[in-house]
This record gives sequence, structure tokens and C-alpha cells, in this order.
Amino acid sequence: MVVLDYPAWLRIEHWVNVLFLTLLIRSGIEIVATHPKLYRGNDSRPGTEWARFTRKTMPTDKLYDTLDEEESYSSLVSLPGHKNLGMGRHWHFVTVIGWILTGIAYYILLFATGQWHRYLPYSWSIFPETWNDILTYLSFKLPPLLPGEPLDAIQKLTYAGVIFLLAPFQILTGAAQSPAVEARFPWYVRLWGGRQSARSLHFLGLLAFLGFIAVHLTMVGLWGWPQLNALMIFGQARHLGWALAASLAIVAAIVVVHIAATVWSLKSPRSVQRALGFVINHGRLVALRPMVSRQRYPQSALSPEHRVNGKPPDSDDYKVMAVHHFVDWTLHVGGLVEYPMTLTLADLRALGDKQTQRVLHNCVQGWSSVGEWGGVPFRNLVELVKPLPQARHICFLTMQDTGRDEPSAEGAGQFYEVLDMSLARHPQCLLAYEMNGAPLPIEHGAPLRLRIENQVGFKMAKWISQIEFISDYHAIGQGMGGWREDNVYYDKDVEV
Amino acid sequence: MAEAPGREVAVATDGRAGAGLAAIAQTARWAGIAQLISFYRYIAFNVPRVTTTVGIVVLLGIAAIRLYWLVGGFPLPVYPAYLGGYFGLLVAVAVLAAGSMVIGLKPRLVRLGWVLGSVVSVASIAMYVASRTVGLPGLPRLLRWWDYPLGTFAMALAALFVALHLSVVTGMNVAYPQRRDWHD
Repeated sequence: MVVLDYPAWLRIEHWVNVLFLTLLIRSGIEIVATHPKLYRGNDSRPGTEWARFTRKTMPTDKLYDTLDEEESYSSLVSLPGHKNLGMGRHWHFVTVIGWILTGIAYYILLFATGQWHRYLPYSWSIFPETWNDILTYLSFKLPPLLPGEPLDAIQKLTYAGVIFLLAPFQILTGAAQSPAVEARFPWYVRLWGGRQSARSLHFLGLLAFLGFIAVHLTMVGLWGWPQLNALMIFGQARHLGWALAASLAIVAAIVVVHIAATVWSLKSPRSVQRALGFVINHGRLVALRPMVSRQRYPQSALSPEHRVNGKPPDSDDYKVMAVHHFVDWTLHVGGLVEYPMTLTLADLRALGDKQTQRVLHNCVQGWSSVGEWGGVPFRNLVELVKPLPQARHICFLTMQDTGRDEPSAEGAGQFYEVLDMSLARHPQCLLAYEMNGAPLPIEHGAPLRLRIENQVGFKMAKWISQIEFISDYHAIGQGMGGWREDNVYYDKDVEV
Repeated sequence: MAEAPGREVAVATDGRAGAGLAAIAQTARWAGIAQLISFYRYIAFNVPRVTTTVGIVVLLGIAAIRLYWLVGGFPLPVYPAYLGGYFGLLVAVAVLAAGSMVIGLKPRLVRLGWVLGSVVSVASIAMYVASRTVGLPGLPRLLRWWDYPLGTFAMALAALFVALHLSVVTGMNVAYPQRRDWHD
């Protein structure tokens, strides 16, 4: 019979878990803040939210985009707070890697050492015992522990639920929000009721974790904080004073980590982007980059109103072109190619049969919509211009001047995004000039935008005027691989 | 002339204090203290049917427990007649409140249902706590008798209803047939 005690690995995992969970919760709240609205349907249609965490109301008489809807939350609840989605994403993703690895180690050790007996029930008698425990707690008394075990019946069931159901549930609903996963396995998103449903469930999972933490701390208080605390420090109920001091020191260290992460992110976001991005990107490229979009949503799934992010170019040149239905617009394709060329919209249409794709659009902020995009497969253009062997990336330059056109944006300058060459030949990598069977609307990027369906929306540059094949992007802008990467510290590869 | 230096000192002190207060206020603003205090204003749900359903189920739960006590489930074999009257009144008002919450065609009637529900809930908590602390006439055995699961559960239900009603009053929730006017 296994002695269900408190081995060192279990104690260490407990405190590491405290650190990771609190980091996940704060960074998760930062991510929610960027689009503080929860929906049921994939459309994220304004007004259909089932929950809002904002006091902002948007105008109904003029164009606004989802950047205007962002909230700035306090650093006390969000990491790092103050409208820093890029930082929040980095902390969330790097922490989730650590949390998953910790969880895997925990599972392995639980089953390797037999400690799983403390959590997993193996007799139906657990249910009547749980009922008795509930009645006992309602009598303001403490129920008996299960024989030879450190928990009572309801505690055992609750821990089993949190460790083996709630934690995986959070990971699975989180994965259902990855555009790469959604694009490769559309059935998986449907399994959760759709993209927004998965986001809502992920949020409810967060509330469940918060509820668990509150009850857990209350239980520890009721059952004897000093003794239980000592068990989680020394593995035995001894040296209660030292155990208290040690636990306070651990909690203080966790608080220090939070403060350091917050201050570092607010003072030097670029270094956070580089350091955490290094870790995240390696995992992402291995796990998610191979996923190629296979989306084919039915006509009935089209969103009646496709949400918008980013405001159109507010220049006279653009307006004149728009008035003339972009007949004067030209696309310059150059850089490291054998055949640089300039194409009109008519030239692009003549590049091959129009390809259409009905797909789910994932904004980095968390909203989604389903649209049908029509255009020329990007690989057709690649074959036409013939990139040189040293071309490794593609830079999409647009007509948007963010300082002029996007007052809500942090930063200024011409909007651009860099895509890896490996994505250019994806079957659903599209230069779109149509949306829902009509010419691409201005707010959605007319006359030409990029669609790359296993990436987050901001990579899909709109109002494109120039495409350059390049060997390196570090000399462009601030060298991070795109305007948003430069200015709001997003990651360059955004399969999640 | 004698006042002048003192006033200057006072002004200087006020200035320093003012600067200090301003710095504290700025720090508090930066840290989002005011946001945290008024956090409930940042939370709004648009699930009126769920809110009303939960409210009605909770209220009917409160009524059902009293009905159970009224028809013989009360832990004491004999109890004063006024307690039976109280149980009956509470059941009647709770059912009436639940009814007006669900079939109230006029918003005023629905609001009245919620208020009645809260009155019932607060009254049930007050009576329960009073019976266990100061005591009720003819019920000395209930004094300090806290280890009664059904009673605790009934109190929890009542507290839940009051909390839910509070969320409706503060605007965090809306109750059927009210809807959010979110058209932006």
C-alpha cells in the first residue's frame, strides 16, 4: 500500500504551480482586456455578447474598429496591464509551456509513485461519502478523512476534477483558439461549439480555477493552516514556525516574480519580446507551423457582419483610386526575384482561375468572423516572379500610414508585415481581391489583401501596394518582422 | 504682517501636502485602484433568461424547504403556531414573487417580484439567525443549533438570491424580460 504522504516533488510542483497559475491568470486577463467581450457565435457580432468587461460604448454613426474597443486594466489584475496585449500574449504562452511541462511531470510522478491514489477514486462508495461530507460541511463541522488518505471524499473528487478535468479543459479550449489548429482541424473547433464558444469556455474555466483557489485556501484555513502548510513545506507537520516563514518567503518570491515581470514588461517590452519570443517561437514552429489550413465553411456560416480591425488609408491618392474602383492601382513585386513586375488588378485577375475560400478569421484580440475570400493563390505569383534561392521572407507593404489613419494604434509609420516563404505556398495563402462574392470592401483592405489562414489576422496585410521578397527582415522598420511586432510587441509567427 | 509668514508656511505645507496627495492620486490612478474599487461597473452580463431562471429556482428552493418544514419535516416535533404561519406566509410570498418574475408582463411587476424575493430571502436569513442567536419565543431548542445542513443550505440559497438581485440592481445582470440595448 502506497503511503500517501507529501514527497518533495509534490511539494515543489505545488509551489511551481502557484507561480504558473497566477501568471496565467494575470496574463489571461490582459488578453481578455484587448477585446473584453464574450460571444457564443463565431461571428462576434456587435451587440450579441453574453458578457462585457468594459464601460466603453462604441459609436453607431461612424466607423470604428476593434482597437477602439480595447480596455486598459490595472497591473494589479493583469500582466503587465495598461493595454499591452503583446506582452500579455508572451507571458501567457511562455507560462503555459512551463505549466504544461509541470503538469506532464506531475502526471508521470503521480502514476509512477502510486500517489494517484490520493486523487483518483476507485470505488463507487466515494459518492455517498461525498454526500455525507457535504452534509457535514453544511453542519459547520469537518468530515472525517478517507482511511489512510490525506483528503476527505469531496476534497478527493474536487482535486481529481481540477487536475484531470479542469486543467486539461483549459489547455484544450486554449488550443481551440489557435488559428493554426482551427485551420487544420475545423472539426475540433466545432467540438467546442465554435471559436467564440471555446473562448467563453476558456474564460469560464478561469473562473472555475479562481473558485477552486478560493475554496482551497478556505479549506486549508479550516483544517489547520500551520499543519497543512508545514506538510507542503517539510512534508511533515513539524517546525510549524519555520514552515510558516518558508511559505511566506515562497509567496513573497512569487510576488517578486510578478512585480519583476510587470516592471520588465512595462519598462523594456522589446527585451521581453525577444527573450520570451525566443522560447515561444521554437515551440510554436515545431508544434503548429506544419498545420496547413483545410477550412471549407458552408455558405450558411458566413458572418452577416464581418468585424474590422484597422482603418483604411486616409490619403487623397487612395481616395482617388477608390473612387475609380482601383483601376489606377498597381502592385509592385520585387526584391530577390528573377522577374520583378508591376501588376494591375486586371493583371492579377488574369493570373489564373479565381480561388475562393470560406474561412474563419481570427483576430489577435480574440474576436472572429467567417468570410468568403476570392483571389489569386499566392503561389501563382511566386511561380511567376521566381524568387531567388536566398529569398526567405516576403514583406507586404501597404498604403496605410498608421500614425495618420489609426489614432488608437500605438506607434506610427507605414504598415507592413513579413511572412516566411514556407507559408507562401500554402493552398489557402491568397491574395484576395473579393470578399463574399463582391469586390473587396475598403475597410477590409481594398483593392488587395493577404489571406493566410493558419495565422492571426494582423499578419494578413490589407491595402497592399508592394510585395518584396527578402533574405532578412531585421533592417526593416524596427526589425521585428512587422509593424505590429515593432510597435505593439506581437510575435512574428502567430499560429496562436 | 504677523500672519504672513504663518500663512506662507501653511501654503507651503499645503503645497507639499497637495503635491504628495497628487502623487498618491496619480499612483493610485496608474495602479487602477479606482478601477478595482468600482470593478463591478466593468462587468455586465446579457443572460436575462439564465438570471431569471436561476432566481426563480433559488426562490422556489427557499419555498420548498419551508413547505417541507410546514408539512412535517421540521426537526422539532412541536413548534409554536406562529412559526407555521411564518412558513406558510414565506412560501406564499416566495411563490408569488417567483410568479411575478416569470409572468410579469410589466417591468414594474417583475421588479416587484425581485424585491419581494429579496424581502423573503432577507427575512428567512434574519429569522434563522435570530432563532440560533437571540432565540425565538417557544423555540429554545433552536438556540446555538447550527449543525443543521438543511438550514444552512436554506440560508445559502437566500444569500444567493440577494446577491443575484444585487447584481441586477447594480446593472451587472439583467433579468427577463429586460434586454441589453447593445447596438454598438
